[in-house]
Amino acid sequence: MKKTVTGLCLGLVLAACATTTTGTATMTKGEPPQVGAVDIATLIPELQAIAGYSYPDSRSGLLAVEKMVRESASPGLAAQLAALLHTTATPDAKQFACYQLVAIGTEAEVPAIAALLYDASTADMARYALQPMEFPSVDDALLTALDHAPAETHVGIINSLGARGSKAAVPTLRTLAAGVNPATAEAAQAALARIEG
Amino acid sequence: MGTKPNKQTGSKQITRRDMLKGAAASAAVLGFPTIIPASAYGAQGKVPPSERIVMGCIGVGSQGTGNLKGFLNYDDFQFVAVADVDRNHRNRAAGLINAKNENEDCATYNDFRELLERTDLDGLSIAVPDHWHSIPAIAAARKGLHMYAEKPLALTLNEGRAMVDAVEANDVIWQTGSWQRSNRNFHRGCELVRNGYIGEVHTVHVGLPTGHEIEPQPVMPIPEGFDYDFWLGPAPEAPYTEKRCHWNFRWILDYSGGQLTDWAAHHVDIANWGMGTEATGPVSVNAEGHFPEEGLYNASVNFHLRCEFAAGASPVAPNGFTMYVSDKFNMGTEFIGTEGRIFVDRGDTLDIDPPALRDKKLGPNDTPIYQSRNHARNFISGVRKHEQCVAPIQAAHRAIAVAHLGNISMRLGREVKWDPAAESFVNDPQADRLRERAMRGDWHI
Repeated sequence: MKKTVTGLCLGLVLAACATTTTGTATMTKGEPPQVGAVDIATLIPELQAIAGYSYPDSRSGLLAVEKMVRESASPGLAAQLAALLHTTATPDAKQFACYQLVAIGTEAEVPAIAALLYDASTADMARYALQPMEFPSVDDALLTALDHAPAETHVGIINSLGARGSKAAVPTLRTLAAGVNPATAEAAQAALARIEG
Repeated sequence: MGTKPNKQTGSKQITRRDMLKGAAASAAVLGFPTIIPASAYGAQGKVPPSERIVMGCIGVGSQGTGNLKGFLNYDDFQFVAVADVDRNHRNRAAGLINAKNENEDCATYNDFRELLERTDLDGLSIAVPDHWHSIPAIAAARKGLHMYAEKPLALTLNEGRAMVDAVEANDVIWQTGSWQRSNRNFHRGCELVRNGYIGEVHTVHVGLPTGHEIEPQPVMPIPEGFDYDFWLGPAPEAPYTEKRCHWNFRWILDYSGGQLTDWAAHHVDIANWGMGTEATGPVSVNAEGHFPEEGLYNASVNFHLRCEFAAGASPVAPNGFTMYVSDKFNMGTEFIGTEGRIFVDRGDTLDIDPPALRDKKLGPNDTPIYQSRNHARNFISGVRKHEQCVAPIQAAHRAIAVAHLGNISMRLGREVKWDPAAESFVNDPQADRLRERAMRGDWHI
């Protein structure tokens, strides 16, 4: 099954980007997501304003976005936040976007977030957003990342599968638990304990 | 827990903890008192080494060191090891322990997991930042270690539940550092409320302190001897600045829930104790807050929670009751009933209306609530008798859950409906996501 989120054309919700195509995120089961680069200039002004945020800059722009999240919780805003993840925005801005996606991310944003699992420097922020999401496609995304993402991300991904109580992950976790890599084996054993009780 | 593999022994060993537990059980069967009598004490009235509760410390910053100093007043404890990611802290604590023990034997660890590999421990004193509460506590419970551990119980609702489950599954004794329960006034006020002396309670006001703000803080070099990456642990990566760490962690949402969680663990805990709602929670919470617009700290500075408890949740509120939690009330807990009110706070504050209730003795049909007059000694007694302490983990979880629900309501900007039995939100997957947080890197519970 192929899920595609194209365009992130948010005209129905956010007039500021009514005609903007901000990128493409595609996820095919078993394969890493394919995501196109996004130009910051195509984001809504509030997100453009935070794209350069780094600690200890003023947080006023972040608070404005948090307010939008609280007041609208619109699918369009979630798509814009996911698009920001594939711009040249700072790591702090991307981490902030992932924080917001915990609250308002939809299944449509899963591929764009999951793409961050494939870079060790962004995998944690991706898990922060994905782990609590209720969609089965998150389990697929995490399991696929175990096959293709850098080795240093694997324990974290296994931990997220355990925290999610992912039944779909049990066969993979059993294999890892019996494996020779002590770090992934220990993590897989702990994850299985959480899933199976 | 983390990447460092745990050393597991293949065979079941009889530990000091098993012996303590066995001694308590045997004494109960034989009808002997389980507190060691004075006649069994060593010279100068000291507890013989073989009877001491062997303890380690995880986290010895200001709170942990304060707790340690208190414990060192009792010969029942034998502290032997300290873990802290700040070398200065752990060396300071080790010095206190060595002075007490009159030797230089206290072991020090940067990594608490190495401390947990020791086989000579009966229990732990844990006082680490909130984002670190669940990992060592759950690991210690799995090793059968009894714990005196600091409030607020956990960073998230799910971590709190996991801690409760681990403590219960491993049958370890737990004392939360919510020491107000060992204070005479809090006990007296709650006992009167619980036994209906102010009638049916319809409203509880919980007053907490206002939060903190601070200007933006510069990125700083990490001090020598401070393992900052370990201090961050499961929390997101962030540049070092002095005011992020140690005592001030509690004003930052990556590590805590702000003043709301810090003090709800005291005064909401008292509210639950008085109302008999220590095993349940509100069915809805609507919260508003004001958050700092600039600077390092980002937890709410002002907050107001309206928490509705269902009919039957409390034995003294058959029609349900409302708990308000706010920084606008006087600090403390106020119970308002159909026949009176009771306000209790620290510093000998116990206002009772009608005043005649002040000297009221419980009647034969009344139910006394658990009494402790010394939080540390209550922990000692709990460990020796293998009995529940005055501040059990289940109560700590339910107290802090109210604050977590408030923070989630503030974050979503709306009321949230909560099922206290299932410990999940009602048809609200968006809110359910906020019951937990992914942990950085390899950390897990």
